[in-house]
Amino acid sequence: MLTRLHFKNWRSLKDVTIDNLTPLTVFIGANSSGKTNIVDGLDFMIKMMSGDPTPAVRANRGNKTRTLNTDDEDALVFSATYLDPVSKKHLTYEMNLKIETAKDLPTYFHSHLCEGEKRLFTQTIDKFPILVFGISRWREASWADEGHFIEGIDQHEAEHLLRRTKIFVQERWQILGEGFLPKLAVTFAELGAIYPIQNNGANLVAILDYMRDAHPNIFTLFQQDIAWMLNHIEHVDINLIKDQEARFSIFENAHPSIEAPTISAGTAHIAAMLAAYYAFDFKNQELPGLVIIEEPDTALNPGLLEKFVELLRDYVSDPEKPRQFIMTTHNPAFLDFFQPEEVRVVSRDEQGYTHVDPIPEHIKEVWLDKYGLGEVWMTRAFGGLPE
Amino acid sequence: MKTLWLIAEDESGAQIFRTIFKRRFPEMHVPYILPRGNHPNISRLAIDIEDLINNIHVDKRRKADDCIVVLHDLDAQRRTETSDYDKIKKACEKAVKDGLKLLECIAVDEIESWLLADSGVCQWLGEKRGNYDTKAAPKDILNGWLKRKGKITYYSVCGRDEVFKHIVGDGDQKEYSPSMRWAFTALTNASCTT
Repeated sequence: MLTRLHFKNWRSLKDVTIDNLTPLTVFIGANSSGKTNIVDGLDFMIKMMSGDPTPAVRANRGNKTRTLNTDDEDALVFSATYLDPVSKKHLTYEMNLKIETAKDLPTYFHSHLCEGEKRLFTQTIDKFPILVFGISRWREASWADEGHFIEGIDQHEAEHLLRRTKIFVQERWQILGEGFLPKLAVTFAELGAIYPIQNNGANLVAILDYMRDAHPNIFTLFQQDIAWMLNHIEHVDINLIKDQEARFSIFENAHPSIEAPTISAGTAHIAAMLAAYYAFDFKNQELPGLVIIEEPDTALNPGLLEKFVELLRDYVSDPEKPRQFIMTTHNPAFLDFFQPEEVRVVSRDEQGYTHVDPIPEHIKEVWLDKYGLGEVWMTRAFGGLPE
Repeated sequence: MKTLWLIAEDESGAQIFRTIFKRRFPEMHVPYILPRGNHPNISRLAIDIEDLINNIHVDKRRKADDCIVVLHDLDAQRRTETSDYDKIKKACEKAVKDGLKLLECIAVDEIESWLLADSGVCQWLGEKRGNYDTKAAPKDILNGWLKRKGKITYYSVCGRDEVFKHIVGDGDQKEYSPSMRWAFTALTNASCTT
């Protein structure tokens, strides 16, 4: 489970540490406070983990990645600490990246893995490819530096820890980004990958089609959960029409043999979130999995929020399958179902830099035996609202 | 930076007080909290006042000599009973007895009378400033002035924001708003402004 995040010089996150993350964590804050920058920072980390930060830098418009008032010599720093369920060790993977503003290109990349304070592995790349116009690919890069393990440590174990860490960040973080809304009917050409879920949920049908065929037991659980959330649903299926389209279909209790003619945005949202969770079980289900969801409550009826959080709590309570959800919200009704230690308040100071703070301890003793957390949020007792 | 902690009965009251206070004492930090609910009001304030005071009391960011202001309207012209006001008064007195540096500031009859006494707001609207503390519904008077000015309503966030831009914060001068004068004199005397 991810326990700590640190961002430096990343967009509005000048120097932000987020500690004591819990299996469910919710970020709240005014519009433009920096919540999405946190989510995008995690997405950036996944992309850098591949070892080539160039596409991530270019996709993020190079110099726009860096906090204002920093220059080419100021490295972007991303660090994630997690509890490795196999070794039971707290491991930290840190990545430092320098970018040449004029070319939107990385000039220096350094990463290292630590166990507590003890460094296990380090990698530095300071020779980057040059884009040659007229040639459709990057010139051969100096990616040969695959790093080295620190002398005097158990190298065999360190290799395992590094491999698991890379898998954790690169393969076990799934993000549903801002405004995600999966298409529920796609042509075969549009199906996309079966894993992981795309940021906008576009490959939901592909994931569910694979789940149904290759992992019917998981698909059954998915079906049960979606029917529990939306009790008008009898079952769901993937309908394949040869040479035409693949379609997510629902069958309602009222007419269980007839495919429902329409599917609401809320149903699509729920299906995407549950699919992201169940997709971890396709492979290595014992490894930790992190689902990051921007505004999961969008398009959900307020009456469903408690059920949804209850479902998430059930998901993160299985010791055999360590799972975690990080979410953002603007919705006080959603916040009512969380504990104060699960919430982080995101705000910006007068210089425009983002701060992330826990909810002050006194909120619990003053308010929470009588009122919900969302209700107290609106009193302005702990920030996270526009000025 | 010194802090003045504000408890207000609603968002617009908090914004008016804070804007005036910040014009006068720009170096002060003025966080505010409100009663629960989407539309907090005096009854909500009466229900939540003890929790709101306690919330600030135990807040680790509060320094011992920081002042707390409980701000609400007198509403004498339209209220039918006094129990909410009595409850707030009692809670404030108890907090003072418990050692908190707390002032109950009551705007007469509504805090908008402080705006009708403000040279910046009145000059912008082309109206004569004066003592509106004893007049009924200063909010409606201000809204009437705004309508004359050009189709802005005070009962919208945009309209209020436009008014707040023009606040100078001098409504407590001589013959203008006595309730504002009382509040700012009390704050100064209690060393809440320095």
